[in-house]
Amino acid sequence: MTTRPLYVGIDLGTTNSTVAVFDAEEITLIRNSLGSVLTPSVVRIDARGNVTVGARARRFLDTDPANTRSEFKRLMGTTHQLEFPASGTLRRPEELSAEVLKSLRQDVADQLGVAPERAVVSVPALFELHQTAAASNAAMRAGFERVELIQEPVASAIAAGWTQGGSNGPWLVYDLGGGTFDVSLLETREGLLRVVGHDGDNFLGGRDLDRALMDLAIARLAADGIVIDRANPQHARALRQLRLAAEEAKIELTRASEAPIFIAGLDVDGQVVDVDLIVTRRDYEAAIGPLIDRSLAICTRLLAANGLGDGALERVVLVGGPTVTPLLRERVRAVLGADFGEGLDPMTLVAQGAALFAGTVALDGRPAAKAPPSTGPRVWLQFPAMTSDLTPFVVGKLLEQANTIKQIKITRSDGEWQSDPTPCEADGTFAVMVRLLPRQNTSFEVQGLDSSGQAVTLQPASFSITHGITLGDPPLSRSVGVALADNRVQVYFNRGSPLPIRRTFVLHTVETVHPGTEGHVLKVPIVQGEFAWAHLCRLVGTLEIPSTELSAPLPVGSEVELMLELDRGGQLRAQARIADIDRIFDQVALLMTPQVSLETLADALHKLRTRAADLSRAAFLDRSGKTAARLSAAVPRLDEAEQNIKAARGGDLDAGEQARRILSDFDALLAEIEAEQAWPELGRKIEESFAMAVSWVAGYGNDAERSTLNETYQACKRAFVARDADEVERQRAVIERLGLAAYFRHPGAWEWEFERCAARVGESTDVRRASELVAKGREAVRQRDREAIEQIVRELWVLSPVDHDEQKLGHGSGLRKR
Amino acid sequence: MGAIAGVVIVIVIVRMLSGSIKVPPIALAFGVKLGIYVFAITLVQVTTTDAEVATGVLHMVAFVLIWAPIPLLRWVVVPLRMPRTAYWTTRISWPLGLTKEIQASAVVYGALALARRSHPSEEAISWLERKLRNSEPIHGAGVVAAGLLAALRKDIDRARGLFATADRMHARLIPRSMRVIARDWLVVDAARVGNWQRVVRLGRHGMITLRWSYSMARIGERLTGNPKAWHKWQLWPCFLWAPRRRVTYPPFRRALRVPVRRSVQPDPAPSATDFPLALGSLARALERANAHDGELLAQSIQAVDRNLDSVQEMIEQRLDILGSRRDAGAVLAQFRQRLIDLVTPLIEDDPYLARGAQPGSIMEQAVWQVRRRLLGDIEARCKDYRDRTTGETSLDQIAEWETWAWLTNSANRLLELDSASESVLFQIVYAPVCNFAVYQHNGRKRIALAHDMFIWLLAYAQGVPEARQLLAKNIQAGIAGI
Amino acid sequence: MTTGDPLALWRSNPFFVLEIATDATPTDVERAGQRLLALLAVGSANVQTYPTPLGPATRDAEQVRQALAALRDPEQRVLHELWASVAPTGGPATDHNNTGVCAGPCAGPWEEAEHALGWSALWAR
Repeated sequence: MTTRPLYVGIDLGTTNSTVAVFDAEEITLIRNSLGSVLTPSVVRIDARGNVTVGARARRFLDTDPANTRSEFKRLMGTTHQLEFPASGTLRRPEELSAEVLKSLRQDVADQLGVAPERAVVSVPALFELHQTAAASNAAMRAGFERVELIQEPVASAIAAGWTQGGSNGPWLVYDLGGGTFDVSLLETREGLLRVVGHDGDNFLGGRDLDRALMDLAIARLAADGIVIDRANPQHARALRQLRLAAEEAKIELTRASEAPIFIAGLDVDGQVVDVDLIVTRRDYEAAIGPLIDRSLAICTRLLAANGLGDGALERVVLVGGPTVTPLLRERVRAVLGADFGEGLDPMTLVAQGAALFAGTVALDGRPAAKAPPSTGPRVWLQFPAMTSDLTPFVVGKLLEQANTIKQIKITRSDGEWQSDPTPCEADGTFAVMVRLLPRQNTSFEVQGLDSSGQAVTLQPASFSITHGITLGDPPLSRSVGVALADNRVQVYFNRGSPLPIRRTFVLHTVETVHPGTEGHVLKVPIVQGEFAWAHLCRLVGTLEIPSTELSAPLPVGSEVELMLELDRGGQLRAQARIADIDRIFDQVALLMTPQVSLETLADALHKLRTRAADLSRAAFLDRSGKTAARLSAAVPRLDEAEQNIKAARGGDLDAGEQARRILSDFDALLAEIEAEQAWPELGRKIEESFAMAVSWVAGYGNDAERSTLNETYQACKRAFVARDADEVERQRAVIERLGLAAYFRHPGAWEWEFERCAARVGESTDVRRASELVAKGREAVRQRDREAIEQIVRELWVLSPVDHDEQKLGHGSGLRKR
Repeated sequence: MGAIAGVVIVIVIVRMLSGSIKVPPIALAFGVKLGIYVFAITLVQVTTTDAEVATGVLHMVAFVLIWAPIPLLRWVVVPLRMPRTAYWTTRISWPLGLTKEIQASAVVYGALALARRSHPSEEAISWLERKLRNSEPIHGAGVVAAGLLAALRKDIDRARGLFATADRMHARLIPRSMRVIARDWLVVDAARVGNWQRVVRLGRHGMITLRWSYSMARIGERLTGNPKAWHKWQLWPCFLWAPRRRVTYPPFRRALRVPVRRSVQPDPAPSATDFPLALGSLARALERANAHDGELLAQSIQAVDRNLDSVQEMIEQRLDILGSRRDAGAVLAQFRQRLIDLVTPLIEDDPYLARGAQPGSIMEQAVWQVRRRLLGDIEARCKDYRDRTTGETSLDQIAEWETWAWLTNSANRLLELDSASESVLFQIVYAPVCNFAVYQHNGRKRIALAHDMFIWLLAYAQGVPEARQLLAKNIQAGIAGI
Repeated sequence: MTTGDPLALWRSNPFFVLEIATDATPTDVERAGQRLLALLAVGSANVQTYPTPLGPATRDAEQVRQALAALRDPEQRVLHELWASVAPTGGPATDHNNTGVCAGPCAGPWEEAEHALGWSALWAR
């Protein structure tokens, strides 16, 4: 009797985690030792170093917060170390996630008698590469031998598609979890489930709804003279108590029109008070309204990006605990104009989908069984574990006796169908189309036939396929590429590309790299994001080629064959081959997001406010209403970032990460607006340059130069119309050079230039030398020695300061396209 | 006589070592060879028996080895496929035309011998590379040697660049025999892929006319249906005058069969409804055999582009059936971009394909794309020159020649693509290259490299009198050192 | 710069790779892809080359997966349908055999060119 497969799926959530198993027929949710299918993502380490996970640890959140950690999922992939003072240990977020996964693995073992070795773990769709890498590492630490990652909305979609049956058309998964918001647009067509697009916000979740309610409570307390400050570390305990109470009130408000927030003995600056507030549903909804609107704006953005208007959706699937909020459901239905998928448990849908996905990729969690004694020639079978196709192919290859077995026959276990005998190819391969039973697991027996038609038992003699859904390869959520020295991005994988994927491009070095120079490194920065400018994209890793690895100088323009590969779970591999020295480099460093100090964040916030104000002013003067509206809509995010920075000062690491993300996104928005505004400015510069050049060339240029100037101006205008910034700058530089060449033919030009340089001698890189040259220059001016003046001016130019900022912007990249 | 010759040689050597006389290398070589020849003849006469034949043979060997080593190398030593033998024979025989770069020239003949093997060994290539790295000076022969070694390493692009640089060098920088090798390689490189247009340009518009490449160019004109191609009665003498007649006979015979058309009749464009046929004609134009026919390519692309509008409705229907809400315009735009991407690498490889691209056409957009890339490449290299001039850092000679070859190649391709870019190109390259050349000349004593840079710049300095003046001055200063 | 075969990208059109017609249903597409992936996984030699209107080409599992992904996206599919509608080329348009008589230009390659100079080792193989 064949043991049923064990496909394990785990939803590693910010607030709660769940594990489900699929045995090719039905899905089972695993209960933990307390009998619940939900395990809080909380880890406690006591003084003896004992690790407690789940509800038991959660109880200590209030009484022993220093040694009890929750909501560390959003910190995965960062370099944060969380301290557990009782045991004197530091743990990274991925290590804590590993403890949660270990606990879930044990729950499976307790319930089913086998500890799974392979599983599918869910991650938010907008997790970046370093975050998915951290999730994989956590699973390996938890004892899994092999793990595949799946994006949460895809998992939800699989589970919803499995439950709802086949209906064609677009539908949306609205996944609001504890810490992240994902929205995915999907399409089912003839049983094929395809993810059309993703969007979301890694810093929007149920936690933010709690915080909104907390802020409401804090405001009420402040009105009563009790001031709780997020930025004050002394108030951390009070804030925690308030949050727990707010969470309970939030749950109550899903079914009642009002709920109490009651805390006995709240200690604020030595003042002990009892908090007893009543929060109405209306007040709560007013507080969380903007957050829900934010999520819906993301949904409509996704729909618009895919050409979908109102009422185009077939249905919406809600995922995540916070989606039970009545206001949220009401607003989603109103804005998206579609019914909800029924019979779906938003708390466990992701885990169910992950388990189903494990089935589609045949990731059986059972330990590999010992091979039974051979009862016939071995055959290697390839078939889909799950498919929407009722007549898929079963392909195989005879590994033994390929010359005696001539044909293959496959019979369905119910006896209602069998294939015609299919001849084997000379190499022993065969492909047979089988017929499945709809929406169930179908078993088959496979037999070989020798030249006389005699049946030969093969090993394995049977297999089974589940009729369900076919899932396209999971798509990449954000484009991945390499930053180039000119701050552009060579995109390797576009957003939406199916995973796994591998691409190779040939790039070229931008400077000569001399061997053995300590610290001199050829950098290949790998970035993720949709921006054309590298500095706006997130740096996710750097492949470094130290000059100490070179035996000879690597000239400019040397070819670097760079391969990037992403596996299905989003793990990155990079390899650079330098043909000139025939070496391969594959050490990718810096996969963690470095910690940014709060001072840096505060400084960045200040600079962004200034920039935004300048841009608003310019937009107002230019009467650019659209730009002004965009800016004014975005500026409130800066206030949110400011609040987060304050909370981070009070010890809330998550708030710090959120602030960093908001500021990064705002920087990108400003850069986009600046680029748009720069274009008309560039047009003005072209006219100015041309006007300057034409006046000098008319007087001191020759016919060839006049002709060249006109041609160049025409080419420049053409490039401007085509919005080719590089070409515009190039042509403009030629116009200026032509003008300057003519200018310097004027008898007094060198003298004027000398006076200009002399006035700026204080800015020189070598002031002493520059001063000496100025003195000599004055003498030359007195003697009217034009040649000497020219020579001195040229030397002064050499000493003037140089700008090296451009290369810094491209994350220090040493590469360009050909 | 021998004794007198020996005495003369000793006196010359002593005075050279004392610095009281300076002898040009070629004169020195001539003098030494004369001395050795007289000495050898004397030795033969003294030591041989009465057999006149043996004496005659020995005279002949000595004569050839001393006075005509190049034919010996070309017809005897190189075909032996022994690179070290070829190298040392060249060094010892010291051909008069190669005296300035005897070491690099020896590497050339070593590489030619190695090229005759079906599987040149890694060890032999490395040995020649070491010899080249240690050679001084490096002028045209060194560049040709570097090109041959790159070709042996299967780095065809690098080899092509180096040979193109050698082919356009000033006569003072490269012996004729070396230029012949470079030019012949380029002709074969083009002919083997059917790029007869390039063969014609190489043979007809090169720096100097060389017999075999000129003959191949005339053959190429016939093969490409050039209206100005020679008639048979003109082609025969040209063919007979050139070397390698036996191996060149097959393309020559093919060329004779092509009738000379004095006016070109373009093929009619496919009809408006024939989108698949238009694509088919494009595919044919792209196939290797026809990949260098620019006119055919442009026409095929235009035919596809013209027919695209006729399929818009079909695209809309298909999008609707497949459940997409995007409009057909987006798909058409992507299709056009793919057409551009298909054509771009061909144009980059052979810019002449794009000559006569119509404004607004797909070909013209591809030209713009390639042009932008080439200018970016040139700017990056100029920036590197600027940085290295400021930092006073230099690569080894061969690497510098290679870097220079890359830049000039990109520049030449840019000008082939768009001759109107000459002024922009000059403005970009003039200052960094000129300053770098000055650094190489003054700081590193690489006169030949600097000289080549000045000459190349001068060719494009038409409209800038100050630049012409400066470059002419620099060229004059450098000539004496070569 | 040495150009590769300019038609290589065209030959890897998903419809050619999967050997299906341009009007294939989504199920047909998935089935064809699944079959090819399975055959390639077991090392069947017969499926490594495939015919196209532009001449035969070779494929691997990565190409098959990319082909499947391309055809799942409607816009990409329509784009590939356009490219796949090419009429068969049936060989080069002009005759450049050495023995035939040319009616027009015969500017085909001179395959023995390397041997003319005895430099067969100098070009990449």
